[in-house]
Amino acid sequence: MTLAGRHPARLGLGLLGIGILILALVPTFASSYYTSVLGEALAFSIFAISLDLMWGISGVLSFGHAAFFGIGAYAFGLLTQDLSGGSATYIAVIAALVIPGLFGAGLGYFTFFSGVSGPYFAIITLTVALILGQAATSFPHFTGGLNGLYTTGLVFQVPGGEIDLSDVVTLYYVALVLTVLILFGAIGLVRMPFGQALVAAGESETRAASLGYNTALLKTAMLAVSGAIAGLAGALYAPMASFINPDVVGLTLSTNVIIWVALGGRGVLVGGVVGALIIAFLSSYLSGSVGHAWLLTLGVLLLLVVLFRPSGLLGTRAIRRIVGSA
Amino acid sequence: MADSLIDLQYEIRERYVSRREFIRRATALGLSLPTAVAFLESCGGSQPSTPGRAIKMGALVPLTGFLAVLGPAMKNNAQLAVDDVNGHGGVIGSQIQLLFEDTASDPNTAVQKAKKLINDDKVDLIIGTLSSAERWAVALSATNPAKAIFINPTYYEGGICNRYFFNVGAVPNQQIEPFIPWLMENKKAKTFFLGGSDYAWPHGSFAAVKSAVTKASGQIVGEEYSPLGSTDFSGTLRKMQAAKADVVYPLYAGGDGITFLKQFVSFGLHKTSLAASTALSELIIGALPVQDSTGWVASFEYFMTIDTPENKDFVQRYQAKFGSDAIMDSIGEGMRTCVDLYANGVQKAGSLDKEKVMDGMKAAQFPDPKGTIHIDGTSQCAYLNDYIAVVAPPGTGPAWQRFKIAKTFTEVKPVQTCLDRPPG
Amino acid sequence: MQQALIQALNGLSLAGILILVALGLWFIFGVLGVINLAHGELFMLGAYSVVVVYGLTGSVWLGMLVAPIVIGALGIVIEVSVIKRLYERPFETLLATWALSIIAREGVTLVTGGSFQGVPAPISGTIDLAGAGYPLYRLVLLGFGVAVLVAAGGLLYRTRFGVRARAVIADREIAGTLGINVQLTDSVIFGLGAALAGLAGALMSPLVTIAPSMGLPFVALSFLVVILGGLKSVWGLALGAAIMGGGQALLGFFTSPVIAQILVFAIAVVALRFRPRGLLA
Repeated sequence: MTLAGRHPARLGLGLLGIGILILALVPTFASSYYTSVLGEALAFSIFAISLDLMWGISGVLSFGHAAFFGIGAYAFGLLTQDLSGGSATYIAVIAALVIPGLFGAGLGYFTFFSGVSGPYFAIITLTVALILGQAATSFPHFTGGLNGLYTTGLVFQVPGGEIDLSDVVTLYYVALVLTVLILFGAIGLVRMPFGQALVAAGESETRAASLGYNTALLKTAMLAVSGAIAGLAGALYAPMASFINPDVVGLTLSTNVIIWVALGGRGVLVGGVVGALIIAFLSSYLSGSVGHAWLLTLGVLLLLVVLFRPSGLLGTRAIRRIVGSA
Repeated sequence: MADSLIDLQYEIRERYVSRREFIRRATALGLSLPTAVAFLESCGGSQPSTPGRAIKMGALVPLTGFLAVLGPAMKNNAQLAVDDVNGHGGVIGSQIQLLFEDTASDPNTAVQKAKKLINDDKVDLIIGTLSSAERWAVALSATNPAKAIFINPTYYEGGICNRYFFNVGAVPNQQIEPFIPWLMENKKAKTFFLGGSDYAWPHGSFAAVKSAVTKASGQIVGEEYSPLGSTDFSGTLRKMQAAKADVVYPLYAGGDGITFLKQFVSFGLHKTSLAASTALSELIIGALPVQDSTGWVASFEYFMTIDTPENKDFVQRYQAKFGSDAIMDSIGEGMRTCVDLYANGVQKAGSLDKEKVMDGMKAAQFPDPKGTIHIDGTSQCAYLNDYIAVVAPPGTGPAWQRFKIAKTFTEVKPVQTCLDRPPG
Repeated sequence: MQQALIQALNGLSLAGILILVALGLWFIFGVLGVINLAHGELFMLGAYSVVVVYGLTGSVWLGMLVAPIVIGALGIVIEVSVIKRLYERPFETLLATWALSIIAREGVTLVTGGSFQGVPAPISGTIDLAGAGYPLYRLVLLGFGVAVLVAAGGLLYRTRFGVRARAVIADREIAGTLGINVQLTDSVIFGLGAALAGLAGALMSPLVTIAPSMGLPFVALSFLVVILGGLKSVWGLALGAAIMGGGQALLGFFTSPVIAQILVFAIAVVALRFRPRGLLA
């Protein structure tokens, strides 16, 4: 009998529930600094879920995924610049979902439909991230360049009131709610026929194609979804950081998210969440004089995980079964 | 002035103050500058003062990340300045407590740490930040909304105008307005080619250069920007060769500056054009081609080679404490000015009340290794000397000693245009 | 006409640098199928080797001789300890080599304090071309690049080792059944690729600032050159390098370096989409 007993799903859900509860209580005992750090980590965990949908579930590694995150963040930032009230925030959020989603669809069409996959896809996405990073820096009258776009003092209108997007605690809870919703939504997506087909394609593309699945179309659709989710994460991040700069589209963030998913657990969606939360938190906590030693440790950890436990912390068979990716 | 003396006597009556401490405090108040300097130099021991509430001073410095190479000088200078103040018994009886936070060379982290210092650590003020992105981000997102005092040590393109923001680093006109006419006169320069990294600070500085050059009837024969992290400047260098400019003015960020200058020399351009820049500092000179950099010109508000007794003494003490190969540039030394500005502001105000201290800072006047510092009320930037240094032939000493001050322009008034968002 | 000639020369010298950097990657990626994200760091360590040797002996040439040997040995160590376990698992090799690159960068930063280093050029002086000086050293680099390329071609097509290597490229399993020691060949090829990266770093060291992150700009560029050139042919590499380097130089001259970089990347992406097997395939 495995640890989970007869009802692994219930145990998993139980543990998840405890985790969410602890996260919900954080603002009550943590300082505003750590609340804001964890809030940003939650935005990053949504980003990690979006990467895992492509990588762990569909078997496609995007090495420039921050492109989507960044497009979402910049779309949100640009549309809330001349803010006149809550309504602009609505449109900005929708834009942050739609524009990266369309970009993902376009990129997918450009690559998957001509058989580009695997390492070539990774290199192309790497290059795209570099291009966007350079463009964001060099067209400052549009993007604010290195000095960035400011997203302070925002307010989000909902029926029955307003959500103050400049308050740390409010943002934290918005992030937490969104993370939980997207996590369950993503798990649901994986368990649907659409997701199951992609799991099959991720395991063996030829086999899935021989069964009649249009793998290119499936992957493109998933890239669009993944892009939209990443864009939403970017839009959430914007008011938290209170300004956006080219780092949100760059190589560093793209590789960081890969590290979170790789360490936290690939293919289980919740792994990326755990990875992002733990690492983002530790990175803030340990910055300063131990900063370089910390990064070195992270590199060593990544190497060890890749060599000896490639599925990451939570990427176990049992959890994959629960999620539906195995 | 009278208020302060009354306060002082009141304090003395209320608490026991040693006779020596009383004399020290009385002489500290309202002295003219030379005497102040003499006083500071003579002050030796660390007689503990009667404790008032400690002053918490937050300091944002890059200890990791791509700017980390400049971090130690900033940290050390802040530390030394605070130790000096505390060693003299603090200021109005309060010791300064420094809280360092690493910005990781990232503006997002800088904002987070600034908010931490303000909200969680409840600091009285924040000093520091290096890059303009960090500075604007901290000012607009953290210190301005929280109405927290923020003093900036680094030269930058200017533009942050807010009553809580004070700047002791040079703004472009202070580094450039005296520099260009001097170059044109003393180095027979008429034509200029401007090359820089593609972001706000070079654009802002070059705007000032272009206006100064045109005003002095010079000519700009080229202006080109390269992406950050460029490793090959051959295209730009060929254009510079074709333009045959008298002066090549490179403003490339950090390591790019070294790469450019090395390639500049490799193309033989140093034989026909003079390299003059407001980016050639102590931290770069060590990595440059040794022989070929002779004659190059730099303009900053501080050099380690400033030839005054105050500065020599300061550099000596700095290296005694942090190592004989410890170097700094104007950014690092600027941190000291931040500390002293605040301390003098408190001194003048006679209290730790924020508004009074801000008034005190605006009225303060105090000695600093780079000259006498006082603040311009309109811009809340400092009047600064502009030092023009020419790189001497290599000698036996460390590279920074090659900067020979050729000309000092005293108390250049800061001029900036206020912006409410950072420039693109 | 003169300007065109000068620009062509600039483009060629850039291409020469790219050939050197990408050739090592070609061996590792093209031959072994290993995505080596630590290639930039092997390059960087080559440059630092020169710094160390120069500091100890005062000779830059000696450093350039030592660098490929040291880095090649390091490459073999990496291959045996890490890469060998991860063949046929491209994601894992990608991650593992990225981890190695982080370790290398942070390790060097911790040891050196992150300060900038520099070494003087072993050959200074310019040659007069079309009325202006052109650095002699860059022409030497170009010559080196071509020479190394020719040597690589010779290695592959004229030696027994080359035959074995080409067999392994064609089909690993069959090559194994033919009695070729695939394991050993792999290690040697990886070591060779690493040595070339180290050599490139050493040769570039007088031209750029030596800092822990100096390898990063070259990673993406070298991958693009290799893929554009086609994984099966060394000459394709030269073509890819010429296009990327030449493109950058020409576009940079007529527009600006910033636009040039963006355009070159964009063109590479498009080319990759239409010719994923390489331009010469």
